[in-house]
Amino acid sequence: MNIDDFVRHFEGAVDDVAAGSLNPQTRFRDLSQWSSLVALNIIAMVDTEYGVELSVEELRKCQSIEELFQLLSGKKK
Amino acid sequence: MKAAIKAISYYLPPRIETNLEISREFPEWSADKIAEKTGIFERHIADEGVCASDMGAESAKLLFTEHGIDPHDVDFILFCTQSPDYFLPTTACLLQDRLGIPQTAGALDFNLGCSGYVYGLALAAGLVETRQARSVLLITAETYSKFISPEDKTVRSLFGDAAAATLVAASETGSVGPFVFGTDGRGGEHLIVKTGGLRHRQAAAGKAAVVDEFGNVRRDNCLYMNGPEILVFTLRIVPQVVASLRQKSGLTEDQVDHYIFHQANKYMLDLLRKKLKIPPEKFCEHLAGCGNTVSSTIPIALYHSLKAGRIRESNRVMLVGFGVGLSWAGCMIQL
Repeated sequence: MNIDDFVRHFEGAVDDVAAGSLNPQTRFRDLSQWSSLVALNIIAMVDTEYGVELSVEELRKCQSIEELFQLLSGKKK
Repeated sequence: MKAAIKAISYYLPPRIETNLEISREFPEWSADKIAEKTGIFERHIADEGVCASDMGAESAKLLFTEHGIDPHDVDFILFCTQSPDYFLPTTACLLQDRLGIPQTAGALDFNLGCSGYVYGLALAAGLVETRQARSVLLITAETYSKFISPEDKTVRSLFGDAAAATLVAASETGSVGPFVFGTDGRGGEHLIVKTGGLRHRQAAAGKAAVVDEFGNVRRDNCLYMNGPEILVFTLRIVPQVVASLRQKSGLTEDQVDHYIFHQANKYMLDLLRKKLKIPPEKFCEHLAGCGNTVSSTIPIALYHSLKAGRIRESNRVMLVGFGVGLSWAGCMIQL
């Protein structure tokens, strides 16, 4: 798992966001596009790209893209 | 002796709600976006005063006329709904009278949603194969529209009203089974109408709507769905059910001819199809014109797959229902 790839995949999960506009420190809940659809896309992306189950509770605990990445890296091991 | 599905018909109430009508109330939720995200273009909505039982009766009448079935031959009614006419009497009892089914018939309601059709097949097959009944009328009928708040664009876009009627009886050639069941009550709160039952007869006076962490408005007396939680559940459980059913039936991936999952929404169906690596020609998607009709999605999809010739006699078809409860069930069928 690579943080830059993860940020790009994360961008893919958010509608109307240009590639390269998010970074590891982005607090995703503050994005204007934040909605249950984005949460669905993140859960689906993590399942499809990384084969990891991300629970809603785990997503709730993460504030930034980096925190989510750390959590998922831990799970993948 | 094996029980099998002998006939299916279904009924959609006439009034249609289009994506355009929904999008007029939500500026950023365009008709195109609704279609793209859900795969749904229209959903049918029961009028005020039209209950699940009314649609159920219509679907049964269609079953009788379309398939030349005599209601006097039915000796058991199973009615699957989460929108009964009354707490009591049992709605299936009222249907016995309405449909002219003999008084010697058994009748009962069971309360399930998206998993309801497969559970219904299990109950019906059990009755037939133990010779407790010969000809079971299984009706699934739902009016989620009556629980849905006009402010909730997500559930408004997804759910439609419908009823389906299925006849299950002994068969020389067809079968239903094996079955896989599952339940997780921890997820009960993720798809719920909180008030109106006896736990909370009415919403607390003056209780305002609450906005959840995703910006969805929830009212206790309306249908609430936590989409992300339901997605996590679906992605975990459905692959397990599919694997379990293949193993129980002794079938390889290639030997299952067709898959009909609960038609929740296109987003979820596409994810499941790709995750399970099911070829598109083996995978049923039928919801564009009716939306998510809860326990009727599988029989409606099965009806259309048969009509279009995508499923033929002797095909091995896998059905998987999953959702509210949380509850799930899967089975193999041969027609």
